[in-house]
Amino acid sequence: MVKNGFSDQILEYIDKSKKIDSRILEAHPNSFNCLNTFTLGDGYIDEKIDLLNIKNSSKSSKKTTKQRGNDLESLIKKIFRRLDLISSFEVTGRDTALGQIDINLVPINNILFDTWGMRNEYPISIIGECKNYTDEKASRPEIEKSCWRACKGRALSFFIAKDYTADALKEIGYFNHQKGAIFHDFSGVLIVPMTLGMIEVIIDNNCNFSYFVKWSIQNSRNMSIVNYL
Amino acid sequence: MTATRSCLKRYLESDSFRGGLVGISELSNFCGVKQSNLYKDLVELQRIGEIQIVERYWCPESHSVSRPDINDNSVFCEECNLKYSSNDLIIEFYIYPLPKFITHKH
Repeated sequence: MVKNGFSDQILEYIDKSKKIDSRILEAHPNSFNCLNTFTLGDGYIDEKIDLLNIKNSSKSSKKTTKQRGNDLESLIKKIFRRLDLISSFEVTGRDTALGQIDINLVPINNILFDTWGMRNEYPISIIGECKNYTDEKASRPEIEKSCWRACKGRALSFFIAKDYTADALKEIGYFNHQKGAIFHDFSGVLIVPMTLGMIEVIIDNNCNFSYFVKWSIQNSRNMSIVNYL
Repeated sequence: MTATRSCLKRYLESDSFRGGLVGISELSNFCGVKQSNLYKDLVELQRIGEIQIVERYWCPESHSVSRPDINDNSVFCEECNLKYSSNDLIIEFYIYPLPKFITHKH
């Protein structure tokens, strides 16, 4: 479920951005933006199957939290792999130097960040964490761990959950606003919260996921994304 | 990367090549490969010193501007008489084949 007109907002944003980027590509064909660096191909066929699995698993009490987490990871892995400017993609699901992270993306260079409106604020890494609880919302202690990992890896960090507690969102807001006071080299470091419901809207409407990432990054800077979580 | 290297060689030997820098869009059309996928290989060819990827910067009004200073988040467009944030700039990518690459041709 998504809140407060997210669908209208994101569909309008993507439609408008596509028109602008299309005009730019006509005039400057040797450039890159979200429009020509994302492959929709089959129209999210595999992702739609994963979404169904996630929905079914939330109704079934047989699946463990870990299995439900794996279902979400599988979906996120597939959708991020559609970004053309990623050179490698690792589903860790284990302890790394940054701690327990689920996904680690390596872009070919900083152009990926340019397409997301992050020119001159380049993080060192991109990480993703997936929380697929049936009843529980992602809570503040989990966000605190995420903040630490983002600092440690100077990472752009995507946090994907079904829902968030108010404290968790407050913590993300505090981190994104105050990171400059917390640590010195914070260029490109940001926690970007997303919900499964938002991703469902993108998949159901066959939207370009890269524009959604761009929108999420923009709206996480000032935390206006909270209105849609 | 091998396919991209051979295609770039074919392009340079073809009538389509008129000298100077090669736009990645033109090369992508010539090779029938998606521009972003081609770019990935070109980054690799640049890494091993066979080509150089050259960037050209444009303001939102399509005027040529200089490369923004890495510490400065803006660039001045003389024609617009305006300062633009680097996020507003459009970057185009071109290829310059280096001698090492040309040697491979023969």
